[in-house]
Amino acid sequence: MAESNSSVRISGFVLGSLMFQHFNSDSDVEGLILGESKAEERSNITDSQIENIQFEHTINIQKHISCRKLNSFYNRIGEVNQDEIRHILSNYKEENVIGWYKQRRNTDQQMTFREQVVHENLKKALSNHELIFLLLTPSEVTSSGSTHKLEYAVYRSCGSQYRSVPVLVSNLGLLEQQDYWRLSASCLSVNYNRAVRKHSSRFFSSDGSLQEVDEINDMNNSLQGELKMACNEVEESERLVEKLLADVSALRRTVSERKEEQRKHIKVGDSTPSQPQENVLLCEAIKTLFPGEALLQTKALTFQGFPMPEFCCSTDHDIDITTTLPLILTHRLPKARKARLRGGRASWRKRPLCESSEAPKRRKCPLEETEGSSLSASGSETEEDLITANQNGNHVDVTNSPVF
Amino acid sequence: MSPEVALNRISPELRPLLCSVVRNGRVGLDSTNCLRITDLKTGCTSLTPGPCCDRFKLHIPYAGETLKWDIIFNAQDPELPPDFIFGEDAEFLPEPSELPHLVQWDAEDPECLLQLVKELIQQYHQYQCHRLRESSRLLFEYDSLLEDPDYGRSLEIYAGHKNSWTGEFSARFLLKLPVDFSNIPVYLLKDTALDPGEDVALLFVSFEDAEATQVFPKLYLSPSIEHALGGSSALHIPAFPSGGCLIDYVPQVCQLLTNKVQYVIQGYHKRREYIAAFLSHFGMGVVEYDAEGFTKLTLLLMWKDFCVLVHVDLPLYFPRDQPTLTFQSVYHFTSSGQLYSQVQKSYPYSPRWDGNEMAKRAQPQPKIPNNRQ
Repeated sequence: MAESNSSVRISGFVLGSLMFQHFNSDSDVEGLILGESKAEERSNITDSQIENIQFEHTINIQKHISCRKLNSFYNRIGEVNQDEIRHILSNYKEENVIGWYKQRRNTDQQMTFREQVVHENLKKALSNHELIFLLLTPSEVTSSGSTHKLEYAVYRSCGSQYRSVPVLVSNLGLLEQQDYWRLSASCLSVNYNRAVRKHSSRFFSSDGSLQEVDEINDMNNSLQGELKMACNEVEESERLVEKLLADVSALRRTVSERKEEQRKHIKVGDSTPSQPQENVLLCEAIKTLFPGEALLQTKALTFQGFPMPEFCCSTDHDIDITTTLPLILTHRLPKARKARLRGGRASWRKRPLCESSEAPKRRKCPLEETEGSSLSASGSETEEDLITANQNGNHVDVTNSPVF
Repeated sequence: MSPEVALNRISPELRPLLCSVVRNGRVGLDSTNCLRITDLKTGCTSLTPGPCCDRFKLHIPYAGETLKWDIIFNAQDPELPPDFIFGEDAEFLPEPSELPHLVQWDAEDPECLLQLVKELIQQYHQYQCHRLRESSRLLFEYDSLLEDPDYGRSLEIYAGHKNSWTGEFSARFLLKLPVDFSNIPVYLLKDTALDPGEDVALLFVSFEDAEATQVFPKLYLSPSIEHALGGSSALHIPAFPSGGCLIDYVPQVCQLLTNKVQYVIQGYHKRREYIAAFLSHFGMGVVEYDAEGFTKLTLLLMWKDFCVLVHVDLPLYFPRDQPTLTFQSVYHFTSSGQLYSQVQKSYPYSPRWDGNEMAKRAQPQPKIPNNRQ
């Protein structure tokens, strides 16, 4: 669906100049109009998905050249004299002529017989079928002459008839402009064009488009590339996660199946209640690191949280520490440190809470003070505190416990 | 606006051109209506001293309508030819090369504008005839009349615009009937001070629809003819027959009018003959008679030493209608102070007699009452 709209724009200066010329003349006046014509095709997409194409044809009237007398470029029967037209135009080109105008005082706003004939002949002479005719008809409204009115309209031939085209007067600000400018303002001034040409290379690229627009387009393309890469990475990680989840699910299924099998096996042959599993590696590690420390080797605590040495594990699990837990052997406590531990036993006590703020600092350098540094009491209970507290009831000797 | 007032407001350089238009301007068939000028305006500024009007509306009678054309001159350039706006006929665009008085415009020739208007009317007529093509029925009417040389040369057509509501196309035909009025006595002028113009009979036929189902004819006569025929009610034309066409109807109206004119002419001659016969019989007793229209004769007769005035009144449709004899006493008055008179219509008369026979047989004799003998 295509619609065609035509409109004529004339600046307030040009219209005012036309009026001024006629008001100072004692008869009708006529002349040629210069300007430019632009056509634009707009495609509006609506929810109905019907493509709506609009053709907008805008004619800009930029200048007028008045004839010194009437009937100067045509004769009595309306035949146009092209030489006279060139003479009137002088330095201007015929291509800039977009129409002609007539100002008639006290007549109807309607083209006359000769004006129609001249218009048709002028179209042929200038080879311009979009030629317009601007008609201005001032008249007195009151008999006393106190009020005058000026009617103006632009006519364009449409077959054998002449249709009026809407005229918009562009003043300092266009109030009807609601959206963005799609075309730059046209100007026939030589000085204006010279100034624009001088600086246009800073703003426009060789094909006439704005440079900033090109750069922004490039940046946008780069952003799109980065986004694409990030999307690919996310996709890969998601796929990995999906794979891992699948593996986890498979393992869980395997575990649950084995448990089920074990349960079945236990139900069938074993009548004794199941014993909790012992962490044999931990047990051997503690025995190696803290030999003779029954408190550490016990597996039971009282209701108050004190270990019960009676429940120490005395089973030999037949585990070779040197092969299964080799790192344990590197952390055995040196003899000097053991001596300090025996001597400073009485001064060991649980320090008050006000010193607990220093605990994070002290804890930060335990690795540095491992060789030859004394144990400092902190806000939390250490094994020495436990030993001190249990000595009251258990009488346990300080052993060669490693200090981490 | 009277023509003289209009001329006084026109710019002096343009006045001669308009003089011939307002004084001698008769275009078209309806020569009884002159061209009129209204809405005079100027193209000069209001500071220009008058008279400086150089544009106006010209009213042109055409085919029963009145065309209102704007004519635009320029008072500052009076040598330039005028421009025209053809009112509501915006589509009418004459060919300028076929207007000789525009091509050879001469501002010094007072008749130039009038001739140019006539040439434009001719092209306007062609334009209206072309518009008849919208209705084949009406085009047939036009073509059939055009073929007849009696009617084709004196024909004006106005093809109206289509009614935007009904969609109907209407047209007006104005024909000048080829009836000879030259033998009608000149004495029937109503007002000798006015020039009645050419004696003409126009038949105006209005087609209100393109299929010619609503046709309204009307006969227009110039004032002298209308008076000669006995006024506007004297002649009634027949209604347009349903399904009929102009080429049959117009000759019918022509014949009717011709018969009427012949009857009036013959009546005039018959009256003249009658009066002449009475003059020869009663020559010594003639008091007075109508020497132009021959409608009245007064005699002074004596019967047995009794003088009596006899007034003979001849009706318009004499000899079909019998003349009236009125006897008037020269001695006696009525109670109202009028001379005693007596009308007598019962006397020997026949419309087939000639004048002499009528005069001889009439022998006007008063019936005098017994007490007066």
